[in-house]
Amino acid sequence: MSNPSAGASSKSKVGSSQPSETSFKRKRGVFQKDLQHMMYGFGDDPNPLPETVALVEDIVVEYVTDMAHKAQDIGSKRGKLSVDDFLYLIRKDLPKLNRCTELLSMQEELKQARKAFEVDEEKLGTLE
Amino acid sequence: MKSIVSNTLTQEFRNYNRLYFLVKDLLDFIRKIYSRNPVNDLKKCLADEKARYQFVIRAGTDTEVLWNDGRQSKTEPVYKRSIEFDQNHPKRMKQSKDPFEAALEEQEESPPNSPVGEDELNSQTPNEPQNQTNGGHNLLVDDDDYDEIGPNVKNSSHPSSTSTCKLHSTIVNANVATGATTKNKEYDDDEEEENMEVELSKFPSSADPTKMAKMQAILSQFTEDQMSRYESFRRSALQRSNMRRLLVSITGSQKISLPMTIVVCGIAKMFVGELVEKARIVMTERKESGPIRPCHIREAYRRLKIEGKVPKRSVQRLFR
Repeated sequence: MSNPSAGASSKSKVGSSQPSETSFKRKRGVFQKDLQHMMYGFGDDPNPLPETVALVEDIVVEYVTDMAHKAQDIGSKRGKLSVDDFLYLIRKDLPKLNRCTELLSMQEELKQARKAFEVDEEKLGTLE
Repeated sequence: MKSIVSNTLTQEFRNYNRLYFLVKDLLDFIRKIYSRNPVNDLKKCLADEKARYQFVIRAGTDTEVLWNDGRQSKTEPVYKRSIEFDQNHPKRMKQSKDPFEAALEEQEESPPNSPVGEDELNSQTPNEPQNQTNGGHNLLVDDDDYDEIGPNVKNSSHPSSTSTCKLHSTIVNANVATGATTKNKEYDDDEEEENMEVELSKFPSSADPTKMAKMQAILSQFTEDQMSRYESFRRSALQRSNMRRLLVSITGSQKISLPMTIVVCGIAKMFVGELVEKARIVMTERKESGPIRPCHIREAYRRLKIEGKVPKRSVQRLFR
């Protein structure tokens, strides 16, 4: 069912019919460093076991892959893949949905603020 | 990992929190400026009809911003504040510094052509907005998302501290208008916990005073260990660049927008949380302790599948 965590250093994916820009081989330990801190934050030991981290990374990559495929299926009806497809997928999971809307609104806010800065500089330029 | 991580993370978390709230301050100030007529206000400061300029002076704990009128040889006060702190507190004597001293010292290390380094005490108004936009702009370039501040601060702690102190001096000038003095006072707090709780209380959880009060009450009770774990929880995040690369390789399309990457990172982080928490529950059921082992994670994953929180594959994965 799940991959044994002790594996080769690189792993080949069964190629999908779509051509992809990157090679099919997936490197291990892409999220390793971040995952260690994250797992400690969520309740693990300050030094999580490396095999645990590798397993969690595999699970997360598989999760993201499945989500992305499902989102693509939804998005293909509309035409393009968009953020709303992902939001539709997690609509039943309230904590995730709220968190995502919060993240998106924060991003909007920061974008607006950045715009305000740039306009500010322009005004200064014209004044001086 | 823990000893190195906890000390620097704590320090950086404090810096990050200050950074975050400094940025917020700046943004609020910008918004306030913008809600009034920006051109007129700036013009009023920069091109005063009496050809005056503003300056800041500081003596010990008192700070004043004044108009200087050369012709009439008199000054007109605009803003005044004194920072009170306890000189005799033992912790204070040892490590904490007056924020302006700290800022001055840090500025000496900063690159020579940073605009703030020259005049800290006698800043003229034309420099003000420039400093603001420079410092603020530098910061905001790095910060897309408040969670993202974490990795950036980790990698470049020195530049962020210099840009912090740039904002220190500009915030004093900026606070002329907003009059928001409470946030600067935090830097004089001696207690690290107090610092945390006051800063985190301003966190925009929902701008709900009851929630903020609850957070404050909880955070004040945290032990060192709990605080470091909470810090890891808040600051950890999956790297957006890696996630973007993964999404591109999955979907095969290059058009992965930034919001999409942010959303997927957030979802993945919460999923990791669910996994780890469930694994801990499995461990307590089996009455085991210590670091989480792969068997616990597998059991947790199996249970999540049964609950339906893991998307099922529409096509079976036959070969791995």
